[in-house]
Amino acid sequence: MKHIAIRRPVYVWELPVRLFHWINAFAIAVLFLTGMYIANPILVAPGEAVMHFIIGTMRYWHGIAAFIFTANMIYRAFWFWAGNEYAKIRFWKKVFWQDLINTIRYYLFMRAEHRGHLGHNALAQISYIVFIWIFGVVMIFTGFAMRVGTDPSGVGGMLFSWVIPFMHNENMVRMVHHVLAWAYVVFLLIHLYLVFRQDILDDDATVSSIISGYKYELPTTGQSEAVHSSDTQPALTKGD
Amino acid sequence: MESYYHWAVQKGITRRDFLKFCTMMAGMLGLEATAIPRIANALETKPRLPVIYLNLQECTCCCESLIRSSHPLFSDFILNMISLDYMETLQAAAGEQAEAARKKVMNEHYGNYVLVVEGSATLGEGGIYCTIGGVTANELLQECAAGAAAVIAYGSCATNACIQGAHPNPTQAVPIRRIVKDKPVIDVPGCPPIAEVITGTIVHYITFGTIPELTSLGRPKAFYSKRVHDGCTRRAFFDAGQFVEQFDDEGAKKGWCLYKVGCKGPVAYNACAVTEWNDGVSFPVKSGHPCMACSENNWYDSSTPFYTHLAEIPNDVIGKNPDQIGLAALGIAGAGVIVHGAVTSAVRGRSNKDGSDSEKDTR
Repeated sequence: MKHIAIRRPVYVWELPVRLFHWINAFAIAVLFLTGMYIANPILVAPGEAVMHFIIGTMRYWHGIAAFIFTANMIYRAFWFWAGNEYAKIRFWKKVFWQDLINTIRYYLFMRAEHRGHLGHNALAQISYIVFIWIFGVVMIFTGFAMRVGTDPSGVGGMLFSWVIPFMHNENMVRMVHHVLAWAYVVFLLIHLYLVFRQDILDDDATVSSIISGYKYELPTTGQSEAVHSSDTQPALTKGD
Repeated sequence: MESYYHWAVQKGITRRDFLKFCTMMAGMLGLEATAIPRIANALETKPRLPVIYLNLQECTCCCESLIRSSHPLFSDFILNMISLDYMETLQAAAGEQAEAARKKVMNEHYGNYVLVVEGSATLGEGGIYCTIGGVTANELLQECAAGAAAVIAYGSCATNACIQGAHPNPTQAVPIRRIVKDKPVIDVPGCPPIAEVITGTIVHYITFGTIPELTSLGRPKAFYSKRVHDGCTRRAFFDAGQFVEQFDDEGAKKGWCLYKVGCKGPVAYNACAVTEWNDGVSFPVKSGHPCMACSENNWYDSSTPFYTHLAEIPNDVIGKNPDQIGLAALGIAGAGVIVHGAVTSAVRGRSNKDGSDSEKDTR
């Protein structure tokens, strides 16, 4: 708290990045809840079938959210190119891998301090590559494959009809889709823990930055090595 | 050779019935009305198609389905209209004579006959698990496929090795596609498949001289591009959220959706819900039994236990269902977060103490 007066606010998350974050969070929440309901429909609708459309509604919103999720991903992929330095991932640079090792050591309490990051650190970036990008693309392909089926005609068929033969049968496609849905919940838990932990330890406005866009530069962050950065945990320095 | 129409007239089939058959075929194949005269023309002019039907590693349920195609013209078609020159189960000849008949057809119609294969090939121990006439099933298949215009893999054994291909697959049963690579192979899966599907596929071949359009799984689009679920008579109950929980409950009496008692219709690409069985009498789900997805690859591994809800089927590799895997992962992550948080606060408490001490010193 004593730092606030001397720390400089930095505009880290541009509006498109913040929008992506919240649209993504919303879409994933809808997708997870409706998806789980489609898999395990627990409510029993009384009366005549004509009076209800529960699963149909779930499938409808699952589909709407899926298209939003996909469009949002494409939009974010564009912003890797168009956005500021904090919106990029440069995993081909040596410094990225050095930061990854340092960050892992920091989280294993093997280092008391770590270099400050205004954006994401390398570990956070890797987790986004895996959970959001790789899993996201797998979710998109398995999900749309189940919508499209095996008819190869049309745009949807051209893009997605290969997935079911690729995974051998649709049951496997469903299984992969269902298991990966849980990965998002695991991610959410760890994500929230690390974000709040970072904010509490360094008081750098990590939590509010995803709404305001601003984070507070730490005294050790001055070098602004934006190549690797961290929303989840910038600097924890001795005496901080 | 005589044409189909010529043969049909000899059998006492009227022109009207013949045209009805052509119309029905066009409808089944999903063709437009202009295709009807083309079908009629093809059947009037083209010679009967020689067919060799091999029975490899199988249980003959496909053949049983075939001969039960109940529309008179369909059964006539299968048993008489095509020139079914070799089929162990139905032919009168046996032994040397049977093999001689097969070789004669293969020589006389080299490149022009259709090979229908029921049952899987087998690679284990050099293929000794299935031998016919002194040669292994694989050799017989390759020999017959060499001169075939097209190969129809009839039934799940031929398309995905079915039950004998289930884990651990002791005989190394493989689909026909894995053996026959240089000919067009049409998959007509099901355990057994619907007879009308093979009839339609053959009519398509006779009419247009090409194999029908296939789905990405290599099956005729006309019959296999939709799931059983998509055309199911109980689909309205699925969409409404009305499910049978047990086979003897109120929902079962009302004909609600069988999803929760193990219906695999949502993952089964087959024509059952549309074409139905036994001249359109019914199909399993309509009759109150969950679909087993018998037309799908590895269905014996991925659809079992048969009466378990789709989402609760354990993964083949891990042995747990997706929700168990997910909850376990979430539990581990939660425990990790708690431990990490506790260690963090312990470490921080110590370093804060150090830090404040040192700050005091500097002041």
